[in-house]
Amino acid sequence: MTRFEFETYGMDAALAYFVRTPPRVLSNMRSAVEVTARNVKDTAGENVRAIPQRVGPKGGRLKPLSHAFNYPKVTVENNAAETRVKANGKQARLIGPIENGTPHTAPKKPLKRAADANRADFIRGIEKAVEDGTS
Amino acid sequence: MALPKRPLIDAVLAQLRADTALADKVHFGAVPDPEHTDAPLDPPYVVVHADTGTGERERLSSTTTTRTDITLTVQAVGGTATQALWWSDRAAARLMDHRPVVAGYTCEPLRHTDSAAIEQVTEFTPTIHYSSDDYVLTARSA
Repeated sequence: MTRFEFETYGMDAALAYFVRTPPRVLSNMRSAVEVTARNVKDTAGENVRAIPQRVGPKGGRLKPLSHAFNYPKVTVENNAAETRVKANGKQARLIGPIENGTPHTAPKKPLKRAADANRADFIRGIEKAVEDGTS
Repeated sequence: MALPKRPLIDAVLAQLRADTALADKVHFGAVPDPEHTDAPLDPPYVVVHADTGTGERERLSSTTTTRTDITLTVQAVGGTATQALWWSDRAAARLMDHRPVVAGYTCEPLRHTDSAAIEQVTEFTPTIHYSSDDYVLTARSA
């Protein structure tokens, strides 16, 4: 007779480790998201300052809008880190016509271009967050 | 090698104008605003803004640009939000998933990539409402 047995205790422990995100990864992810949000905010402001002409129905200048971008505190819920970069205050009313254009002015898309410009850096940040959190 | 964008944009405009209701209502580029013209445009109408695309070499070893992605912003203008929405749907019916046929190119179906809340412009007379939808056209040299 041949007897053999297979113990699963070690495998269960290993699987439990992999299905539960290590806390350090979540903490690192929050930092990575915050760094990207700050970069997108700054890039969006630069993009607005680079628009050369008066825009808006009354020809308003855009410099105040370039300083109006910000983001709320990064939230971490259900293993996801999130924030949003948007224009705040009185200048916020201008962001729609600037971002998407109007029938009388072409779209400039400062926010979308800022997000695109920082996408590669964001991916690198997340890779590093996971690498540092699991090493 | 440059990939001319004009035939691609012309194909999209032709697709919109093929709808008889849209035929004389589609404008390429910004329309004059009432503050600066004696002949303001009365809604409804559709405005198409287009960027000039981004070129891409799809192989690391390639020295030739073979792909371009053009973003078209289509704004449907109405006297009310409901009218703007109706014309937005009319334009979407012509564009969403439509694959343009352009000599010298292989095109992918148009992708609807973004939209915005319908805006109101009260500074002008007449007051207008407009929707805003982005479509991306990806084309490769044939």
